[in-house]
Amino acid sequence: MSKASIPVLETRRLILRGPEAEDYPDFKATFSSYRSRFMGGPLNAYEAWMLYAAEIGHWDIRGFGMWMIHDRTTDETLGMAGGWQPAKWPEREIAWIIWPNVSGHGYALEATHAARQFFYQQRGWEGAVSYIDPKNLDSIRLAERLGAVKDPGAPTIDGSDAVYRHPSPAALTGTQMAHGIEMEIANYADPLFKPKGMPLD
Amino acid sequence: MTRFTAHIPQIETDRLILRAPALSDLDHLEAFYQTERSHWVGGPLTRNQCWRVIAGTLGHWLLNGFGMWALHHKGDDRIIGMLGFLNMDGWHEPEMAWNLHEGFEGKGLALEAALAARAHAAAHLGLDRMISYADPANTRSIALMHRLGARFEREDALLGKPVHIYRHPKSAEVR
Repeated sequence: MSKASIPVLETRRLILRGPEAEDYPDFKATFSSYRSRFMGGPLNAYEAWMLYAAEIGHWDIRGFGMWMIHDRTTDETLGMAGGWQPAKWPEREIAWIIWPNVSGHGYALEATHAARQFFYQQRGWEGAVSYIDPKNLDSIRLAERLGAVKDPGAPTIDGSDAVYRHPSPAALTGTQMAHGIEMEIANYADPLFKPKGMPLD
Repeated sequence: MTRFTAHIPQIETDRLILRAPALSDLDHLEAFYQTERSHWVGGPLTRNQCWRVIAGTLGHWLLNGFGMWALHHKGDDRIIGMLGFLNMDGWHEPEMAWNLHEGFEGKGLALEAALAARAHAAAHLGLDRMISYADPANTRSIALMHRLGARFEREDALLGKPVHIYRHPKSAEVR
């Protein structure tokens, strides 16, 4: 009907497209598993389908939303990343989830960085936050690798989540932080590329 | 960006408009999903879950090419219920479904909307002889099935709960 209205983003290893019907089984597999415990899951079949449909409807309501992350070469789905702001969200959120069997390859970093740059450069966002369960250490670590900083004073969704505030567009333009993020992504794409100052972990 | 809702058809009956649900329906949906009437259709729901109903309904249209409409009176945009077609994970086949908010039942509004939607579905969406699910205890909904000419077909289960399945007549047989 109108998948064309969801923009397509391309990175070195990834293509980000709007969620499509054929991607649903991959989404369901993760959202009916323990992996989704920090995103409101695990969900039953009805809840998973409704959430998937809502991911698409979100684009319609807000004009932005979550992309499905695809491997550029195989077209396989790897997870989702993008913007999220349903009812009761105090601010626009940048969110991500990677399927458990493909974690650890830097896909979330690469996809989320591209999504954030799109919102900042093409959509005029002045900033964003990520709402993260304090027990979700992988996501907190990723927020920090993206340059986000915990903002203890910011309003939360329901008091059980921590707010990480993303750097401003200016802080990501030609800065050491921006170069660091891009170097880390380049290192994942080409592990032989080890610039000076590469973080060890 | 092009809005998806532009592709959701709008239907007019004598008294009603069937249109795409919108964020402006959120307050009324939240109120409805706190009433006992909503227990037949998945309630009670929180505000955030109601938001998901609106977004999910829009996404349903995109994923399936059909879905649920919001109902309102001509000249008053306040949502009074939803009606249309569902086919989600766990459904046996596309279903015609409806709900009416408190205070709008007993006026033949669901019947009026259902007849128009069913005719539209047969003519434009390739959906005919559809089923409707009913909780066996939902006598109001079952009464409407009969007025629509739908016949009890079998007992089954939907998402782990027992349901009765009714079959609507073929549109060509409806005068």
